[in-house]
Amino acid sequence: MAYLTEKIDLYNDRGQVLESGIPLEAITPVQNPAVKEIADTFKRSIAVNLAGAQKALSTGHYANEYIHLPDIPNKADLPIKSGPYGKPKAVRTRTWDVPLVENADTLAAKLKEKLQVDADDGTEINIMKKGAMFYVKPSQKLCNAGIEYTAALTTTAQAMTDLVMEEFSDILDFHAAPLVHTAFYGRYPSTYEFMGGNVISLLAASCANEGPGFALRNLMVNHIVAITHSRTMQAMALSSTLEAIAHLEMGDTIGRWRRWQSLVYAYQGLNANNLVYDLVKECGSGTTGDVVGATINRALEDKVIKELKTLPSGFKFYTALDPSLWNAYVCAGTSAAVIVNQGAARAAQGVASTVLYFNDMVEHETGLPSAGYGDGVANGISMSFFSHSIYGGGSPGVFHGNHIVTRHSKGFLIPCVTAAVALDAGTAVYGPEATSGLVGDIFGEIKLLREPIESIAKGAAEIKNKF
Amino acid sequence: MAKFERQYYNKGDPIARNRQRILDPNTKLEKLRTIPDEGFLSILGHRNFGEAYKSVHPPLSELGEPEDPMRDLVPPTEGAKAGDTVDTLVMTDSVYDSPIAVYLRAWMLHNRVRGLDTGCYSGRNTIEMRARDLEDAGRMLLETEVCDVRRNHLRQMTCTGHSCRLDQNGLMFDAVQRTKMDGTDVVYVKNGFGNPIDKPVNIGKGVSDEELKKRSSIYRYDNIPNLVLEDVVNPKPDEEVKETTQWIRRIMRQRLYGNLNPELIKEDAYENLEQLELKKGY
Repeated sequence: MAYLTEKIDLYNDRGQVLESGIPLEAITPVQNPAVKEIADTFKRSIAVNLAGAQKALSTGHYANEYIHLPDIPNKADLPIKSGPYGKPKAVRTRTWDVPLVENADTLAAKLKEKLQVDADDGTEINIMKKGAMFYVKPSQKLCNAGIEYTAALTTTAQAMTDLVMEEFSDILDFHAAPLVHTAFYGRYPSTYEFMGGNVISLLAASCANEGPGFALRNLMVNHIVAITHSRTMQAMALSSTLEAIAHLEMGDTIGRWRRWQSLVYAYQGLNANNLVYDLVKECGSGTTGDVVGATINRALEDKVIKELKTLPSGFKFYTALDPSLWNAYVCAGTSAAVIVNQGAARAAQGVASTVLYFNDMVEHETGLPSAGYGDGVANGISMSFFSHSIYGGGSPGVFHGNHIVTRHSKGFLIPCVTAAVALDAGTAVYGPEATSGLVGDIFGEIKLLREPIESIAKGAAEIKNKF
Repeated sequence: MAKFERQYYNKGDPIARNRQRILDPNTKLEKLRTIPDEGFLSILGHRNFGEAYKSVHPPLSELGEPEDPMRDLVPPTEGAKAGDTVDTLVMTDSVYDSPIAVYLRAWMLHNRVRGLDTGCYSGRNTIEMRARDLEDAGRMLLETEVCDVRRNHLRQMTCTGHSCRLDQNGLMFDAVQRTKMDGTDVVYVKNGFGNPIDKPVNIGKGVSDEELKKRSSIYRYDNIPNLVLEDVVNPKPDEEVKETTQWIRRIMRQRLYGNLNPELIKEDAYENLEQLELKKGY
């Protein structure tokens, strides 16, 4: 065991110093109390869409789907809802008018009773939007008893199913139970995810993760932007924090990569030494190319790289005095370039292009490798393909770290995408308003998630003397 | 300490020097022609002359942006301020001594233009920007020295086949035949999407083949100076472009070793840099 004792200063998104002389160890996910709390909040935060469940039960429109009919010969003769082109497409099933929203107060009290393990164990139920929504936070004791993160969602969904069956036994009979289950759980267990469910967790079902440790990377960029109310650097910090925790879980922050990964998190995500802010301030009215120059200039000033040799034509090669720090500088430069270029367009779609060409130009400017030692270029090019052109895909907002083209970046790509989406003025079809309104309304209320830079700096200051 | 000055590209050979010149935004690109507004818009094919810009959201002043220090530091472009739609422009380049190459375009644009999305794919360079910003950038791409009328074309679709051959008089092949030669001049008879346009647009005369070779930004075995002058095949083409190859190989090597161990991108990790022999202990 060796602590990372080198000192950094943490700045907010206005370029003002928050805490200075923080050892690098104090911001790592294993030590920082605020980061741990963020992880815990993501693990335990559940939203129950009571109005959604009530609508499902009253219309028969369960899990965003009507029940589709198979293609049978006498389909046209059946007394069922017509689909497009006059052909019957779907059938509505049994419906009940269950007054869930009217009884929100009673339901909340009884739900709390069901979820509580001990009296005053920290179980929280907040009624939101005049009873249309619950914000549920089961106790740590309940959520940490098992070893996975799904207990919060499953216990809440099961508790709601039980509760509604009990509470409205005069309306709902024995045969209604599977449909009440569907109203809360969604199409699970027919699908492996909780598709169309009205009990919503920020984290996807564990079987939807690409591999070990991907839980916190499986979170749409739009959600993060909505939570932080489109504040660019706060969004980037939250995204970077999730990536940092995920990389710990993935086994990427061990040995010689521990400092490497922590530096990326500090400089790109937490604006350490005001690097990102300074670069954006210097090149705000400029181009991606200006950020390339400014980043290399800053690295030379801070003695991260030095001149190595000059070719006969006068071209200079540089060499890294501190390779891990150089990587962190390039990662910070990448996000600054995205803020400058995508900020100018107020459109997110060019993020992959900026990531690719910024990194490529840095490499060809210095002869040193770029972010992630080539990953910046590779991720940029593959994400360009998957967010444009013949491969379709989606706008950058629907990307997440659990994606075939973004999963290879070691923590630096998704924060850049988040920054771009935060700066978008409304050009995307699937923007944060379209996909994440609900998430923003509920989780944006939590200050810890909305303003992570401040929370993490405060947490780091509390423990800085330990290292 | 003196401020770092960008190098853009090595200057080891004539092609590299041509590339460096295009990439450096401090070099003012020589303006070769002026295309009238009406002609330019009809080639581009997005809106008619005199038609208003389409918008995707209300102007930023009406929309009201959320409080964010980054938005204060980065002013939006004119197109973004007005809420223009994001439009596309696709350029394609011949491999026969064209003054700019596809991938080089992306670098050039990122050095010279704000607020863009660009990518290279299958011999074409796509640029997506807010409509009025795109028109400004498009003018630079069609009117200055980076465009030779015979070898660089605006093609919004069906670029395929461009690099394989040249038509009559050195005109780049086009499956949709958007351009044709009128004497020595090149005329666009269809817009970028391949739809015929009412008034064909004459965009002038290309430079001579000798001049094109001088301006070329493409490494070809037949245009490295010694080969052209001596008219023999050089047995060691790498020697001519030694700086470029040395530079690219170094980057590739560092990407490979860096991902194995970050410390390996330090030069002192090597016993012998040319042969890439690592010291013991690494």
